[in-house]
Amino acid sequence: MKTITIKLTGPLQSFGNEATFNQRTTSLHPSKSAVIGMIAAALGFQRDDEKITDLNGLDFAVRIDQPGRVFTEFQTVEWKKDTRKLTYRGHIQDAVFAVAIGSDNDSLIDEIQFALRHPGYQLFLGRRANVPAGVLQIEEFSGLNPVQVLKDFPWQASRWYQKSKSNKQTVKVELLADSKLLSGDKYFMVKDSVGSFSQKNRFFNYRPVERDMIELTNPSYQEKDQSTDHDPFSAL
Amino acid sequence: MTNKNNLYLDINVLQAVPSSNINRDDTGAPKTALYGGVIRSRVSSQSWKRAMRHALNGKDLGSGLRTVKLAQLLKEKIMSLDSSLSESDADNKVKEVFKSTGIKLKGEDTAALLLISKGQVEKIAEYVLAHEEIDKKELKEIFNGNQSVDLALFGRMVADNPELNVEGSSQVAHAISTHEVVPEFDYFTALDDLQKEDTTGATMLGSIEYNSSTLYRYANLNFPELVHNLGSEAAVEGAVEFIKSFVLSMPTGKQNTFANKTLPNYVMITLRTDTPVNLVSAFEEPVKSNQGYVKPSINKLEEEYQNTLKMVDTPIKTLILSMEKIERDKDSILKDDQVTDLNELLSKVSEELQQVVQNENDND
Repeated sequence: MKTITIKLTGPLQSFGNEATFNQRTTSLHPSKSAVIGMIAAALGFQRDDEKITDLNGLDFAVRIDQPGRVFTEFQTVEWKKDTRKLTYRGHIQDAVFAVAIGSDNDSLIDEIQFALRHPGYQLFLGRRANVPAGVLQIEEFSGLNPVQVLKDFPWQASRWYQKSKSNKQTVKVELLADSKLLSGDKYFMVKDSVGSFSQKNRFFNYRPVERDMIELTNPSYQEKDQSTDHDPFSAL
Repeated sequence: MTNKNNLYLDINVLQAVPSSNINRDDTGAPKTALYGGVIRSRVSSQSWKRAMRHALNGKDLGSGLRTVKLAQLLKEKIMSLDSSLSESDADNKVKEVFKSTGIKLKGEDTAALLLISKGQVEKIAEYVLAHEEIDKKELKEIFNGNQSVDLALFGRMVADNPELNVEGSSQVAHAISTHEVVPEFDYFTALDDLQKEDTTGATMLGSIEYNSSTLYRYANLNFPELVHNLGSEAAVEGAVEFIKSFVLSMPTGKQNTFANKTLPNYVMITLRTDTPVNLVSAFEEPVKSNQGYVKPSINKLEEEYQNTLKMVDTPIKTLILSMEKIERDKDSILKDDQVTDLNELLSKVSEELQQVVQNENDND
């Protein structure tokens, strides 16, 4: 078993769930299909490549290290000459996610890691205009599955965000993973298994997901200096 | 391993824009984004791409190949896309294409040299495989519609006819300010010139929200993809047009109200063989200044560029065009990368790309 973590961050991210044309909402964390799409793009697969569905077999977990804030992007679309439609597209701003991808096929993980560092097509966080910020940060772990890795993986939130919680020694973050990597029976179904990305026939199947909370150390924790507290009763 | 032939072109631009509202939301306020915990001014990718498309104005750079062997090319492509097809079936499909376009065949070859790109041949092959009956109009659209540079750069989606879709070869990020912005409101009144002397008061009043910002703008280009769409000759020219339109254009929102059309203060172009790198992370911690944002933004950007070099391959070329005098360390790796004007920048990029195209051809 080999696992890699990928840090997903940028000003904007967007992970479509029940998309319709005019109102497209976002889920609050990266979907497995979005990450698989990103890996497929890195590997240089075309949209209708049959090898994409094989990637559904990868083990997947995501940790919401910095939840960000949702906003709706308003746009007009000229879909026919001189005819415009209004569209509303959900985005997550200022978020940081730690994604982990694992497989018993170690060489597949090596290949994916190489491809993410040398992508055949541009990578993006759910929408083409949402370019990842900076170089994609990838780390590698042997002998651990994605959930095991993310249980101990350091908190990835930005410095300012960690500091905003400086009174807390530990923080609790949400983890979502393939159900089989957690208890295996407290799952809920999400339409998030890639059927096809082909524009002729784009569809997704259901996959079981489970949720867990993970406690992480806050490196920006500052112990309150007792002596600066004003205690009026101390004089008595 | 795969993807040995990657070539990405990154464009980083810093541009100070005065009071303006060039891209607004459904309430009329300038678009914003939250980044690094503070509000930034934002201009959407779609908005700037539209301005670029207008600057490119459907410029046609011609096709990649000039050949009489279209029939052969097409047959090979059809057979490679559908291996179950027999040779005679493929021949028939090719014949149908020529029949419905009215292009005459002399034996195996066309009577005249045809201009066509590899991308177009692929589209035609996909189209005939997906349709039993060829629609003349649709086929004509594939023959005519694929060479314009904006299409090759930004792609096209035709929902009811996916064979006509083109995957864009560029990626344009939303522009965001390198610093925090605070929304400002311009309250205005308008007077009626013919108002009677004895009446007072405004005929109309309202307010416009605006802000001013130093924007970080980023775009990249997947050069091999552009070559795939346009052919190598035209792709070099296309890349130059892409840079020019990105650097010189600006969305026109409220332009007449604010006259905010500025030019970039700083342009950095990087040619990389591994991965594109968006340097917006330089501004996650917002720039703080009471003496203008451009200079500290340049310093942060160059610092981030150097930091990222620890994680990626050394770029084959980095070129900088700056309106500001930059104070760098004597041993800065960027000290020899400066050019004097846009023309020099463009010709150096084009030289470099030509070199790459040349090498690829030699290796074939």
